[in-house]
Amino acid sequence: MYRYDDHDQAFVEARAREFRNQVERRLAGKLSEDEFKPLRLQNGLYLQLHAYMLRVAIPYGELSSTQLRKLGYIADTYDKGYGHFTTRQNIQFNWPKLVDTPDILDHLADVQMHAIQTSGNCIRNVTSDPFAGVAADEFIDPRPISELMRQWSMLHPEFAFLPRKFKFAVTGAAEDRAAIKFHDIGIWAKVDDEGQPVFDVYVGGGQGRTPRVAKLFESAVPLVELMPLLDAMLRVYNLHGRRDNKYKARIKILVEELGLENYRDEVRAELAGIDRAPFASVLAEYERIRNAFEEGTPGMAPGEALDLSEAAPDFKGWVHRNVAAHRVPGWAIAQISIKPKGGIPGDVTGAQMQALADLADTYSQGELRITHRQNVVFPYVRASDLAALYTGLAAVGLGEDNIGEASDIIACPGLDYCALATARSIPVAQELSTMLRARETSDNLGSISLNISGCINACGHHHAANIGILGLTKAETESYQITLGGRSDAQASVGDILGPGFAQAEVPDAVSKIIDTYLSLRSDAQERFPDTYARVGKEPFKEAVYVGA
Amino acid sequence: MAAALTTKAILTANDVRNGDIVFWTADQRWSPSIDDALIGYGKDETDQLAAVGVEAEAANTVVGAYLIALKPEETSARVPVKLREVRRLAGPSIDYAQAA
Repeated sequence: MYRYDDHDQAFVEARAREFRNQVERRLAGKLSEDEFKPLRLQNGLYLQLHAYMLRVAIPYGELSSTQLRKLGYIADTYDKGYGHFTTRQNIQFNWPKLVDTPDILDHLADVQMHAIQTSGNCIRNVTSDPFAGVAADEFIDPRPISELMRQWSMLHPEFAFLPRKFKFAVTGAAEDRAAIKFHDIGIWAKVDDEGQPVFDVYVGGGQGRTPRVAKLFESAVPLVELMPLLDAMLRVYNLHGRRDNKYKARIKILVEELGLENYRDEVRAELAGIDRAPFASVLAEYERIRNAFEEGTPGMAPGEALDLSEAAPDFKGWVHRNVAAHRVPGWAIAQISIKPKGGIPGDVTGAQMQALADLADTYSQGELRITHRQNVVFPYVRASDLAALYTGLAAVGLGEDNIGEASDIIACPGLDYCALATARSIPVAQELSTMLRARETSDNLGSISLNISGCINACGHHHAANIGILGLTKAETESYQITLGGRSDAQASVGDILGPGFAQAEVPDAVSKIIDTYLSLRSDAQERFPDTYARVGKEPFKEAVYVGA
Repeated sequence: MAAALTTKAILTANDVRNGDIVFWTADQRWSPSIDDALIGYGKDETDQLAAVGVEAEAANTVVGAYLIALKPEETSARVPVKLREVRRLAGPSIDYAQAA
């Protein structure tokens, strides 16, 4: 994985010192909250429903065991013994004290981490494929360009105060595991006929109250042109994006209001006049970063495929659902579910973080990934080590075999933590998880995505789910609206609203009926939920849920 | 800080240093217990509470001060009107993390 150079390290340490000084001045009464708020937000520190919340960046979801061990230490020392993996591949601590945050940032800097640009109207953490560098279906490793974009966007002087926050996602594989079409800009890295990296650039995707699937802006952009193009795209957005209404301030609205062609014309005009000098080092820097990733990749001699003929049923089930194809024969990508039956999606205790770090050292060359589905990935596991890894995971409550199943639920913190939420997400996820785990073992539900958001901002990605649940407040009571048919893969689409909302207690029954309908209508066990939905439409589901009620 | 409410309200905020939820009390201090919260009735009293919040924020003792509107039916009970405030006062409705 990428390691900071001296410049990077000096920068995060200086930034931590700067924030310590700002906190000291705040506590001494020399800075008002109005003055301090933008400073704390630029360092990932929010004031949430109950307390402060610190969001720590995990660039493109990649972590070392040393970093995870430190996050576990922070959870145990400065928080309430746990952290929450987010849909941006980051981690949040829900209970830090302001007085402790300078020490926390120092600890983070010690392991090449920080919380910069995890809040505010700036370019946020660049997300990517959690299988990056090891996926069997990969065209090109998306991490070097993700890291280059991280460096480009970090404290970019023009883009620190955009009309609204800005989210990039990058993938480099045949299957989109980064939901790139639900981002402000999504980048699909490929290689051309000469083996050189080229990039398909999508723009104007997003969720929130105006969900949109990104449109193709330009295909096969060569590396040397990509960074100037992104600069020009951001400049046009920065200039024309609406600042009068935060609900219309994202680039998806600008692209829609201008029209894609007009936006493209504006960008091309900007690009024609852009100063190329700052981009002169792009190719060399990309190569430096790419080499750094290559040097950090462990040697993987091809080995034998896993023989499951004598394996126990629980281990077989875990391999079947949680292990993905690796580019090197005899090696495996192990996906670790952070969705235990009845558990809280994405929550891990400090002790579990320490255990995961130890297991990563033993079985994954000390490296792991956080996924946007709030799970963990070990990218470098020998097939022959999978059984021992599974045993180790199960011992700390992380052996659930439900990756990609309906119980692998995405849920935002909702009204249990979030100041913006309109309903709770987590208890709904817990109830559904309990119900669905029971059904998954008997009904062969197949792969279904089920995502829950606690408000229209859609941090739980409900729009992009096969079954989406949106929590709202109606007459001061929680009400849950269901959407169907959303998907975040290459055929990305926004789910359709099924009908009137449900009380919390009614949600499991409604979801159960939706799944019953799918099972009765799918053409065979291989037809996935969104394909069945696309074929039969909303009505059969609506009838089952509302008329049959 | 939000405009004062004219019926029945209490003043809440978060402690600057640790972020804890606090309430303004009858003996002119911030308490972590809602049971200690001073209830303001009618426009004059809730205006006074709102003013206390503004002063406390200016003095940097608390952050995010605002009034919580209470249900007026029972004069001495502290039951918020808004679901958001009910949930905020109750705290997370879940056990923390997987192993808690």
